[in-house]
Amino acid sequence: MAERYLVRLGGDLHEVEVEEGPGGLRVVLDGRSHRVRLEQVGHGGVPLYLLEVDGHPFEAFAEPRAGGYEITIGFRRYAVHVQSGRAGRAPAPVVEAAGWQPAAGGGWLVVSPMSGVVQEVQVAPGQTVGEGDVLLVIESMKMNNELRAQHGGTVREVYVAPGQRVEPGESLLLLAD
Amino acid sequence: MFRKLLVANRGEIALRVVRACRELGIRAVAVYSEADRNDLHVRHADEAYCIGPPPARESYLNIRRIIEVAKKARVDAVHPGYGFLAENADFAQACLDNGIIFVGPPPEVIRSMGDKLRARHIMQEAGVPVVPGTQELSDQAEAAEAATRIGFPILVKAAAGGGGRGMRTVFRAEELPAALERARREAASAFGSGVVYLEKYLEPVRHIEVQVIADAYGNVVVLGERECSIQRRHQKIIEEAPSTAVDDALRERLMELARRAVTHVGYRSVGTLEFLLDREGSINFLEMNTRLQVEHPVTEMVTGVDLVADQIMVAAGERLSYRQEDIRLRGWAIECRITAEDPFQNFLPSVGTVTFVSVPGGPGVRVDSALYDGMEVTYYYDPLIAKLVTWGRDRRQAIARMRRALREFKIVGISTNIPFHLQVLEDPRFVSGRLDTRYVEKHYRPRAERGAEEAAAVVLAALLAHQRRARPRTTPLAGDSPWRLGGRLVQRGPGAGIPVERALWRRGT
Repeated sequence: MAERYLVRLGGDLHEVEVEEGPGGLRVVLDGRSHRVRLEQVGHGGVPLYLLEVDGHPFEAFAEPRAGGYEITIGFRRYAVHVQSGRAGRAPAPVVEAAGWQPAAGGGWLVVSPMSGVVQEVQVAPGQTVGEGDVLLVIESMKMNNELRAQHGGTVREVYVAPGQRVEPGESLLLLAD
Repeated sequence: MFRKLLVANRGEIALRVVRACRELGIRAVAVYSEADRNDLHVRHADEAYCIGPPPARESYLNIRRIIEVAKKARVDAVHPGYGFLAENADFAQACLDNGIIFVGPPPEVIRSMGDKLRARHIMQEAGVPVVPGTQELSDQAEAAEAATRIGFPILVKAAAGGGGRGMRTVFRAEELPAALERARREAASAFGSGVVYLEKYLEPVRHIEVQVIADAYGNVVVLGERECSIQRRHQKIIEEAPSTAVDDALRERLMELARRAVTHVGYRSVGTLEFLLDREGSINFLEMNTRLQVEHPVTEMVTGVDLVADQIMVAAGERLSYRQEDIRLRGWAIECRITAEDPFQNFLPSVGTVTFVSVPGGPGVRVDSALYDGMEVTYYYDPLIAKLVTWGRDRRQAIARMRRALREFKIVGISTNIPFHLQVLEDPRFVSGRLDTRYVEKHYRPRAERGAEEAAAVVLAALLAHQRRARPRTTPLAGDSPWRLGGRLVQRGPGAGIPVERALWRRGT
């Protein structure tokens, strides 16, 4: 009997059905059926999986994370959230590292894409900024990284000051449209 | 020869120096910040001392503390590696003042080469051509006049800068006053000196540098050139030796210029003269680095010289064991700097725990790496985590080996720039050797071919979730799996073939 799962990768939600038949595993991904085989290769630390999808092999590392897995295939890392379809509820969207989030009260919340130390804050509340303007400079790993506005708007609030340490996802400033 | 040597650095270069010490029979002393307690250089050394909290200013740049440890550990010498205190004349002097040998040139040489204006002047005295430019600028009128004479675009550079730091490009005359002001301010705050000058902005240009080594008895050996034109934000990413732009005649001339410069300066230790080669084939001095370079392995691969061991021996007062005529360049070597940066997100630094590492091997492959399972990559230091170097009898073979080795390099837990390297190594422009310092800016666009991988990640996540709750029958890859047929799996660890659900349940998840 097929089991249903909801899997979120980035902004996309996928429906996956897993069915065990006499010929092996059958997976239906977003309505398309695939033959699948899976084997774990023993490893200290992170489990390595050999996954075959329709005869095409993938080497994947998977580490359990809250609500899902971090999966490494090739040189890419995928933060995947998964939930059983029976729960009837879609997993919460993953907050993308690089940071523009619609703010609850309108406008945009700019969050830090990295760990580092705020070097410069180039804007102040009330200031109007255009797309591409430098908002802040964050130093990480010896490099100064300019955070530029992805939208024009008015700076409503600034939450950080030079010298302050920030972590990924930490709010930096609030921009009104 | 030294009995005991302190390595005032971290990461792969500290390990490189510790390894040289081991081979020379010298006891190696490591220093580490609180963030690096478990790092490889610490574990490979004979002794290790904590020198402070993670920020470099409080640890690897803390001269007083490092000298204190050097005295306490009773070392004969200090090797500074590259970066941190490697080109700090005050540190070199502090070593000497405390009766410790600094593995590098005399402090006054470090000081004069660290001042870009003075270095330009000294090179001109030695008859080495420099990039057209000015002396220290005293006022705006003088700057405007000089800029008009040299022509736009033009570079405003800080005399105390270097290594790509402290410079900005100005395209039009009306932008010059503001750019000068900003450069002065930035230089004053970053380097403690607001002295700036103008230099012609050359483009397209190739970055060619010459490796030298000199002993205390006036023996100078020039070890050929390296090309470092593949750069991003003035940081080198891929280097090679020799260069496709250098023929025998040009090599002769480069080596002659380097010899002249080194002799004139009274240099000793290893050092590098950086030149710019423009489209017309003219060579101009850019700066001299008075230390070991990150990219020294490519020279080691084509000359057979151990630069670090020889640098230590020369510092100990020994004579160079070879002469210029003993040096023959053999084959081709390429280095890719592996950094903890995500090329798909505009090279955003990637910090986190490295949960699994598998290092490439096989013919012609050398890995100088600081990586280990469980290593924490923090934002305190440079993102360089490993250097992958390949050697081949010619450039084609070195490239083939590099492509192969890059694919073998598995680093799980953080993002790295390996996809960037693969893309460059597969680009026909790179393969044909047509390079310039703006190659990355002009030609590199991240290639996203991940539809199949994304789908596989989604399927795997669903299967793992399914196995957690449903305990299905196993479906091991028996028989004619493409894995076995293609031999794509590089490494199989112990316990291969454990049924998936058993392994998962055993993990207690």
